[in-house]
Amino acid sequence: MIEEQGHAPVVVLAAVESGEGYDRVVEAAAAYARGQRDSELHVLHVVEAAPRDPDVFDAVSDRALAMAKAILERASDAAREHFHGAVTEHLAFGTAWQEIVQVAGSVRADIVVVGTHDRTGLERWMLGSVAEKVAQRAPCAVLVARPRQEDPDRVALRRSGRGRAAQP
Amino acid sequence: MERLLVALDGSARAKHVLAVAVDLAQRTGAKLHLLRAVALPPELPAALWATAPTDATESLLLAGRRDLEDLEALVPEALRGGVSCQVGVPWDAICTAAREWDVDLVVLGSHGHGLLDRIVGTTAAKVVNHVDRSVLVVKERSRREG
Repeated sequence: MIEEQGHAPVVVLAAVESGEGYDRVVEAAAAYARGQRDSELHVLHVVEAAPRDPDVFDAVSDRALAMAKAILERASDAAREHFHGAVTEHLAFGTAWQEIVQVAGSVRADIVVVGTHDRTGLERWMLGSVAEKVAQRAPCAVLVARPRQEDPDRVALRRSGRGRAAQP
Repeated sequence: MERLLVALDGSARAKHVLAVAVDLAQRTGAKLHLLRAVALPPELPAALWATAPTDATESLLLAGRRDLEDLEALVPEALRGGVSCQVGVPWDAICTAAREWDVDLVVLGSHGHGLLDRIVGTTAAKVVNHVDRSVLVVKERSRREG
C-alpha cells in the first residue's frame, strides 16, 4: 500500500453510512488520497438488505433507494470538494460488511476507510461491529475513522500533569 | 495529527506495520509511540512463579523492550515519541495506552486467518471494537503485490 507500486494509482475506498459519520469518513479518505502521488477515490454506500434475498431489489422501496442515492451523492460531493482526482460512486445492496469487503476487492482498493456504523449493546456484542468485520476480512488496509472522544477526566489529568499520560 | 500509537508484536510483519506508520508520520508530522504488550503465557510453569515471578516478568519485558528499541532505530529521529513495553493482554493494553497517551490514531497489523484467530478474534478486531480512536489496520502485504 505504501511501498512503490509501479505506476498504478493508489485506490482509496470510502464506505459511507447513513448517519452523520459520513463526512469524517470522506475527509479521512480524501486526505489519504491527497497524500499520494497518484490516487483515485471511490465512495460506497450500502443499502442494508437481507442477505441472499432473491427479491432484494424489490424489497428496497423506491423511497429507501432515493434516500440511499441522496446519501451517496452528498458524500461524493463532499469527496470532490476535498479531493480533486477521480471520484467514483458505488451503490450496493446487502450486508454492509460483506458489500464493503466485496467492493474493496473489485476496485482493488489499497485502503478502505469506514466509520463506526455502530450497532449498540447486545446486537453489537453478538454480531460484532461492521468496522471489526471489515478490518478482519478486507483484502487491504482498513482505516476506522472515529471521532475523537475527549474524556474529561483524562483531559484534567493531562493538564494537571498527573498520571502516565504524558510519556509512554 | 500529533501522536500515533504503533502497536508492534514480535512477528516479522512488525517492520511492515512500522514502515506504514513512519510513512504516515512523515506526511503528517506526527510522533510515533511504539508499544509492545507482552502477554504472559497462561501455561507458565507454576514453579517459575513460585521461585522468581518478578524475574520472569522482568526478563520478558526486557527482551520485548530491546526488540522495540531495535525497531525504533528504524524510525527517523525527529519522529520518535518513545517506546513502551508492558505486560498485558495486547488488545487491552493497546486500548488503554491509546487513551492514556491521547493518540490520534492507532496503527497495528492484522493477523492471518488462522484457526485461533477465527475463534477468539484478532487483536486488531478487538481494538477496532473497543478503542475510542481512529484505527489503521495494516494487512500483511498489499493485494497488489500478490
